[in-house]
Amino acid sequence: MRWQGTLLLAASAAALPALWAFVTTPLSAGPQLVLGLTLLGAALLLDRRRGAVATRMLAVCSVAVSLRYLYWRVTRTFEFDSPAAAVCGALLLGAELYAFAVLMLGFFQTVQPFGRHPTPLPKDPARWPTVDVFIPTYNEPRSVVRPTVLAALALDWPRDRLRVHLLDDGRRPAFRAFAAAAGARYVTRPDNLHAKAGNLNHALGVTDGELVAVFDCDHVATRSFLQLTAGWFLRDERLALVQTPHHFYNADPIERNTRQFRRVPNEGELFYGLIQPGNDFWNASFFCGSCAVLRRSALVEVGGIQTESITEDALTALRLQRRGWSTAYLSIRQAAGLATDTLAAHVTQRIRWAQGMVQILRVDNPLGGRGLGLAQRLCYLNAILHFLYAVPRLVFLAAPLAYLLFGLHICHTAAPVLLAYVLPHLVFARLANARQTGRFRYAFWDQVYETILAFYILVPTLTALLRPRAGVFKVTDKGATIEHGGLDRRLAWPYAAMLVALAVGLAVGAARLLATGGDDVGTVLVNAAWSAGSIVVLGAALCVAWEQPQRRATYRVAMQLRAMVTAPSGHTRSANLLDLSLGGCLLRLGDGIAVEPGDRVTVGLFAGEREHALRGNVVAAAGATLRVSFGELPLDEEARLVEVLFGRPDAWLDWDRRRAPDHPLASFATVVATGLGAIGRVAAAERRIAASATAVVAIAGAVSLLAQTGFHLQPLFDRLAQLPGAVLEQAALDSPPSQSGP
Amino acid sequence: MTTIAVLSIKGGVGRTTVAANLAVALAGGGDRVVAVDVDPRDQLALHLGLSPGGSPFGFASAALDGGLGGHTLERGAGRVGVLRFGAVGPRRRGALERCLAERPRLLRELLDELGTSVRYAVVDAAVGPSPWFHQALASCDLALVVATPDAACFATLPSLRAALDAGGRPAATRVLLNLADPGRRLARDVHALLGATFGDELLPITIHCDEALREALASQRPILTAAPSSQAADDFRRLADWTARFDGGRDAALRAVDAQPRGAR
Repeated sequence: MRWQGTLLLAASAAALPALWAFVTTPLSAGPQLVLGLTLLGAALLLDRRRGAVATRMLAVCSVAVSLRYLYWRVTRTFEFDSPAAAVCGALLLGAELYAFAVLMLGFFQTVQPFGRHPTPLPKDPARWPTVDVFIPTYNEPRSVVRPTVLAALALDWPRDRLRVHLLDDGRRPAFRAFAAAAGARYVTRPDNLHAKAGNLNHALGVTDGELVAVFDCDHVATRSFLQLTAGWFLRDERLALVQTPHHFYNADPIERNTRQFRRVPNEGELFYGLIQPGNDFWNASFFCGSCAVLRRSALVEVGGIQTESITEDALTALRLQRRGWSTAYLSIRQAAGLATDTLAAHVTQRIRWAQGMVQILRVDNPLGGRGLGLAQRLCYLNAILHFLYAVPRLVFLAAPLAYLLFGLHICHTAAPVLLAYVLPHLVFARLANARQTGRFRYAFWDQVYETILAFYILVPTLTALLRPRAGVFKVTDKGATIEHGGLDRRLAWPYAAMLVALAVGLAVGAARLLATGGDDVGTVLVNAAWSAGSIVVLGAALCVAWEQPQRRATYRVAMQLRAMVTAPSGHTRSANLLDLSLGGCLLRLGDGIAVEPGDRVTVGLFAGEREHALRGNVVAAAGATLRVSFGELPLDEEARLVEVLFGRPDAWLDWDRRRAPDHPLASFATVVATGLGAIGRVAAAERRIAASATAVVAIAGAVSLLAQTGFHLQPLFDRLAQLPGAVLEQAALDSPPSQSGP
Repeated sequence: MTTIAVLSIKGGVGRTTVAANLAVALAGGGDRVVAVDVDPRDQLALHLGLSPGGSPFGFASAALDGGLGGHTLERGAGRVGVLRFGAVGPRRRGALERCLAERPRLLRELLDELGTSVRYAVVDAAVGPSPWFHQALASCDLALVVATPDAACFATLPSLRAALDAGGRPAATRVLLNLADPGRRLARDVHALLGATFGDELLPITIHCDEALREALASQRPILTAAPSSQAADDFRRLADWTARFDGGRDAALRAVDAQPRGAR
């Protein structure tokens, strides 16, 4: 391996001058376009090849093409004719440089995603470590916490080596009673200092297991969670953490409101599917606050869970790694939780993440300080930098306005040259990125995800950058129902405002085209196309802000299991389970059975060799299908239901199996349809606002037209009158050569 | 031929029901199956749709005669060949018990007379310990001990062990839980205790408590035809599948043993 590395280094050194020449040689529009198209053809050919080598070659080519673009951008286009243009131009270039830096870091971070396997435990359970399971809770409803505790108690682990602790910062008597009945230890503390981090640290002080497993109070573990994760701690004595993915079995607001649940990978899948395995390769995977196992001695060494950031988890991992502890990531879904239900909750949660990660940049910058390798520093840096996307994203959204509204030339070049340079850069970056992320993030959806949040994390991240100690931990609401749905105006107005601004820009641009007679047609068209893209993405954001009703308090999970049902008469039917939730199930029977709604029946579920019986009431019996509602179950039956629903080791493994692979054009079509559909829906629902916006756009266009023609409309009308004639003339001029052609 | 003895050491656990329905389920796979009643109460024929006392010929007379003597078997439900116990007076019954005591594998000899075209013989043997019980135990390849999830049945487990050991264990013993009702706590607990006591010898398949089984008996039909979509019917199909797999595995094991070179053992 060593000589291969040296060889690679030598080859890179030899290639540097060639790269330099490639990056710095200026070309005019025509030759640059030819170069770009040639490279694109090569890229598409390369993209047809499978395997990591092709992926890396594509990434290298992408970096070279982007460097060429950026070199040209900085040396040739960074000239301005006004201070305002200079400011806007600098913002745009800054945003582009940021995007390039994050792309580069991303390539580095995921150069070799590590598919870590579980390590077997010793045969003798007496050698297995003792484990304390911590379930911190504050204000979540009991219905959310109960399954989590029951599943933790059912973990496959020697009874004398497993203790489950419910850490209740809400100090609720009902929780104490539940914990006692279920067999978990109930822990409270006198204050709520440092929120979740403080809660966990307090629990560390009153327990003594060798390992600590942490589950957010809505993350329900499978039976096999410890079996799969604990082995690594025995194999590697310097291992401090094994993190597993956070999997959500309900639709988050983006998935629900765009109706793409389980069709398009959700926002988190890129992180847990690709970035964390990538981090793991560099020994830089980090703690995500839940679904993880930590070594107590390591935690104690760094003073417990860190409290200087509101994303205490990432900072804790960083501190552990500075002390030389290793971390591991196991990409096997071994727990399932509840995604946020509303966009408002989603935004609140992401603000916390963004704010906390940016705090870390100031509190304990991974680039500085002791104990980290370069790769680890870069991985942590990228994790933090990622959350600074608010400014660049808003700049990208609004950039065309600088020219369309204010006539500012923020990129000093002619449209054809710009296209000749920028298109290869964009297409290459997209292609190379898609090679690495395609399974976990579909094309164009990243823009939607970022646009939704950019408006809201802008101020918090900038504040955190300036005053890193001001953050407050906000608990994310989970398990809520949305009765009526509809547009969340409070959240949607920035999207709508930006969208209207872009529409005004389009109108003014059209006016300029009419007034000036097409001198600037290239620039106007480039900016118009850009605006249209921004409008589509903002439309998709509006779609997400349009909450679809969510009346069910428990989520049905499609599940294939053998089942049976026993009627009050004592007759049975063998059946197949179609879906199951904490509230009930749907069965397909071998044959109809004589029951009526309201009848008390027993449902038997066969999971492996285990059989679980649950009593419930018939809700609906139609032919051979039967829906049963469990209602309030006794504790032992609830535990069995939790075991069937959440406990099976393979419960979540096939979650994304039936998903189609990414087709960028299909993704593009989906995003466009989502965006335009939402704009139409919102306009229809908010008639007054839509009418006002249309009026604003129309008036702006008209005023701009009048202003630019100096209120002399006659030349314009003349030009319009001449337009058909001019077109015919042009056609007449064009046609003879084509006729005289060979 | 594979002989499956359905046994119990307590009455009322549904042993005859299990034997009859297992025979029908096995025959449903297309194999020739015979059901043999080794219980003086002579109930098996009834379960298989034959009238009580319809034929004087049965296991008792065959055993006393030392052979089937060219008698053909009756044809019961699901095309199962039936050898009922048969009518036998008190005097002849004493002789029969002595005969069985002298020839512990007499049943096996009678079954062998049926020839190799019969794939399975399901034997319903009277509650043990008894001559009938031991005869079936000594003659079978697989002993299916029927248990129910209640305290009374659980209390007989030690004597079951003793009875099995006294009879000289057959090739394989499995405990089958009948009248399983996982909705009842006690039933669940006894099931768990059975698992802890018998380990792998407790079958993963249980026969569920089902009203349709009682109704099927009342109409003298096997559950597979009386209520084919009931869970109990499904259970018997699974039990038959398991038996066929067990049989296949046993064949493979025997072949493996035979294939070993001499002296290797």
